[in-house]
Amino acid sequence: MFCPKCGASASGAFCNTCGAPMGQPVPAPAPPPQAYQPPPQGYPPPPPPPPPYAPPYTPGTAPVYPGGPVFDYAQWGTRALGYIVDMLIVCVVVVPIYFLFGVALAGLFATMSTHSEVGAGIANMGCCMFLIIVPLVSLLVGLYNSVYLIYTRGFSIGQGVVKIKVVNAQGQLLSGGTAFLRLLIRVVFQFIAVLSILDMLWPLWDERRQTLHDKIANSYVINNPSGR
Amino acid sequence: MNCAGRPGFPAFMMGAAVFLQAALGRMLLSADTARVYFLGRPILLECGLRARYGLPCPTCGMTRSVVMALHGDWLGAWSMAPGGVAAAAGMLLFGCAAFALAFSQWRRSVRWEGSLTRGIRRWAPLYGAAAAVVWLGGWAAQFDAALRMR
Repeated sequence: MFCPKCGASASGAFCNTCGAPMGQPVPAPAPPPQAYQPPPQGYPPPPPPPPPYAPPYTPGTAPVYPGGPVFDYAQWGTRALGYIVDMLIVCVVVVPIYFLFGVALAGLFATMSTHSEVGAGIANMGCCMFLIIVPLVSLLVGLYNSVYLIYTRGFSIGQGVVKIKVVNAQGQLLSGGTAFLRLLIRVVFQFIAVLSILDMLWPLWDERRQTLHDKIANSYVINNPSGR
Repeated sequence: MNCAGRPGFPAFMMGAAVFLQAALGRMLLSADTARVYFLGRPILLECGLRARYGLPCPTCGMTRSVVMALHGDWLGAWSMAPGGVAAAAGMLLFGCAAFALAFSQWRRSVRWEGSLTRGIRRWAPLYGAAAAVVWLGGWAAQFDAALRMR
């Protein structure tokens, strides 16, 4: 509708530009009365299908989603590869601790007389291994790999290998607190196996390729082809 | 339709995963004061420190305690290892909080979601700290009792 005074495009009762009244819109002519028509037989045609919540992703293009940041989100396989590299670093620390602690346990107060005692000491480290050593080492290694490195340059060692990066909703590096929260949630999830598996698999069907700990920390993992 | 992007779905799935884990633990595992049983068969894993020196390690009794708690024997679980009660209760509280958050997001109630998020951010670290105190305190008490019995 256009203003009759200034000609500007406007909607509502008054012109947004000059404030002049727009006048009453002309009502549409009423349809002529029709004779009674019986309702059509059978079901009406189905409504058109609603549009998908997110458009299908085409590799190489950044998908656009309403209400969320637009990034070139990293693929699940790439993330998984980076995670495996990071976990290998944890393993490199865990395995020597496991054996050293097991041997120390076997000979803590007594002389190690036979090899079987050493073996028993190592074998009986199972519960301590899963309940203390792995989470503790994950936390300690993560303090450098997943907090300090992500806070200072945006990616851990494994993520650097596969050239991906962790950013916040504004595309900037995470703060130290957020990176620590992200690590802490991941370590806590390790105690709940089902949740840990779900967390790892979540990017497969998530529109922004986020894990659950990414969602809690409001972080995003994106491709970083420059590796810087 | 991609339901993963629906409001509240991730939080709902987190809660569901926690309760699925608890249900699986309850179905598959049982425990008495001596051992944990997987489908009725004893798990013959023994703590090296306790087996050799009679002293409990910080995680001794935690599995039995959590399994007892999941079976509803909270007093038995507390006497076995207080940290296990804290862990099991924390897990169930986390599941409930996730469901409540999912419901508020599904209802698109900004006020509820804000209150819940603030509450979780405030109380989760406090609960974690309290649980750690309970866990280490319980272990210290067990360690002291074991030393006296030697």
